[in-house]
Amino acid sequence: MPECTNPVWPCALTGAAAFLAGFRGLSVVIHGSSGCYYYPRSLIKAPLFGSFIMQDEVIFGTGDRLRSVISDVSKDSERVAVVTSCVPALMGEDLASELDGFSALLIDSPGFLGGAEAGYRIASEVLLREATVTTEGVNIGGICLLDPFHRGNLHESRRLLAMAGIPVGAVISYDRLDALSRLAPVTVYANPDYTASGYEGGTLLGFSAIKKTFSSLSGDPSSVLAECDWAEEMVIAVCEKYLRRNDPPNAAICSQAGYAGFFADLLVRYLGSDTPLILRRNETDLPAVTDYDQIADALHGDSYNLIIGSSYEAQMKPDAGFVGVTPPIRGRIVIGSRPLAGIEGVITAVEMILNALMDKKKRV
Amino acid sequence: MISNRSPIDISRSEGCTLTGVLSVTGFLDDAVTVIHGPSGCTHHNASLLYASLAEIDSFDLPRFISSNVLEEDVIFGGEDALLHAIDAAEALDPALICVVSTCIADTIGDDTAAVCRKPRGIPVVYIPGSGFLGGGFSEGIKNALLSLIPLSPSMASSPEEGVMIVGEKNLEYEADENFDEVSRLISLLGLHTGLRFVRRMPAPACQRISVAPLAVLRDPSLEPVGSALRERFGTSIISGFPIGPDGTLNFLRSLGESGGIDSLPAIRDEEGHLEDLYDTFSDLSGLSVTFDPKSANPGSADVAESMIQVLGMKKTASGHLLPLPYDPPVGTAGTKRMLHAWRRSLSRA
Repeated sequence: MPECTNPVWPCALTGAAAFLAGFRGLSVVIHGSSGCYYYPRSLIKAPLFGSFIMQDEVIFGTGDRLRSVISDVSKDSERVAVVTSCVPALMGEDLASELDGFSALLIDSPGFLGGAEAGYRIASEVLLREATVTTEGVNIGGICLLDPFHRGNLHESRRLLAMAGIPVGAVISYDRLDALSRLAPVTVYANPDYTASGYEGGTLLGFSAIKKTFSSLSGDPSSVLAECDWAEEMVIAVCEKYLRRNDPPNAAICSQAGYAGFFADLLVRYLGSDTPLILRRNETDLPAVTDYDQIADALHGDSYNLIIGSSYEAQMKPDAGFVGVTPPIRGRIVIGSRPLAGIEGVITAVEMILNALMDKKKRV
Repeated sequence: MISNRSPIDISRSEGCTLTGVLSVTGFLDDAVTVIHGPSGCTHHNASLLYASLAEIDSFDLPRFISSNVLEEDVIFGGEDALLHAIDAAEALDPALICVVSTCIADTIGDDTAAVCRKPRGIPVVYIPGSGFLGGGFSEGIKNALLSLIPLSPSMASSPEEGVMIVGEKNLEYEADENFDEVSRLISLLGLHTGLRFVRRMPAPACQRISVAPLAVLRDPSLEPVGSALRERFGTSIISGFPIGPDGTLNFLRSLGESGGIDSLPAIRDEEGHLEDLYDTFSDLSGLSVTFDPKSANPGSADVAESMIQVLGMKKTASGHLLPLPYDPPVGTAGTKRMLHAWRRSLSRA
């Protein structure tokens, strides 16, 4: 991969730490320098520990330092997870043997392996190896502390599953650690970019996906399907009203792939937009676009009047309407539990789009 | 949450060397910084600077180019990736390219300095920035300033150049207010501030570093930078911004001595200014207060101690716990802000 100017997306270490920090009862130790600790700590609103290794440890081995930190951390936690940063990962030490005698897991997720989603997946593979399927029902997946919508997505996913009479197994990852001993066989994903392999059961982004997912689950989907129809009527009504006085928006979306597809579908289906420009933060079958200059060039290539992304993009196109869905979202307060998943998620997304467009019109 | 940290071993926890370097090079206008390491290191720091700048309503993100070291570079070496990144920086035609190494670049043994020596039409400066291999945040600031000094040829100093300010804490929320206060004090002696090395400074201005006859360091910890300026160019050095009222008067005295100026009138002026300040806060006299010296910066604690005495407050174990500023208050203006914070805190008690 070529060089990259001001990359706008966190590394695998951060994604792994975010996955693990979602489990209460599991203490997360970032095994690396203070620099590798402070950034995840600033993004993930949960306790994290650090080994803060230094030069001597890099030369003579980090094992003693790691054991000393885990020994301290273990006093107050059921379980410890150690995430390695770049340098310890390539020093060739047998860190697994340093964890002998502790109830600790080793997650090898250095930043050079990729973006946050890669780290989330690596950590989930290690932790879920210990999980056992013992419960009927459905797990809620795709919950990540890095996602500004994770709490809203969780609440809405629970609500829909309850409507269908489906018990929730574990929430991945926003649960107690012992929830892994009562995993359900299937997982529905609120954000499909934060996946844990082996438990696929569909996503909850958009009416079509919700209907398809609930029709394939074991519960009674009738209430959910009926609410989808009601909500879709409402969405169509507000969008049609907007379009009586306005042209369809010309949008650019800069977000994770799943959210990008979700917003693109809403814009085309309900607001008559042409297919929006999509610059994905994470790699799928298409490459990620995380280079600040590349994003700026792409956004300046057309007269977009709606930007769905982070405050980086809002700053690049200050005259466009802005919907903040991708971190960082600065200059506005976001502490409520708004969803993008589920029926309320569609409603919220449409509401955010129309309000952004109308606010922009008022400014002009 | 920090684990197992020795209180005397601040280098473990004070932050990354790379962040310190970038807090300097990111404030050099017309320069591009190349960071030799995984893109995550660059993202972490770009994001931190973006957040810090947004706090002061500045949204001009400095340009950082990552060599984007990946797994195969870790195995086979990352110098080619670095060369490509420097080529990309050169294509932008900046006035200066700063190349910063990271932990991983140094650990895999890439010779970043050698790659920087390839002749180019634009000056390329190598700055050591590997996190735990080279100290912490403060070390990064020093590394960056020391690496930029050689860009200046030795030239005769000129009083017209003004007083150079060295090593401002660019991520500090009150950085500009502290600069304004220092500028005000300097002006009391009929002098003016010159280069801000480095805060929003054009990169070509690095060539004028030698011309400044007098420099004020932000903090005594920058003494190695002061020594380099003194030894290389004969620059007179004031070792830190003035802290509290006593520090302010001493600062004026030192400035006068270094500049060959009679500082007494300026000191008398400032003493009058301080008397006015104490009068303004005479309502705090007699109040029972305390502060926690263990969690305070020693400089802030010293100023607090002297203000409690000057204002006639009573320090008792059960007194109201006073808030102390994270960084020691700079000059009279900083002291005034601290006293306002005390009054607000006492009024809520």
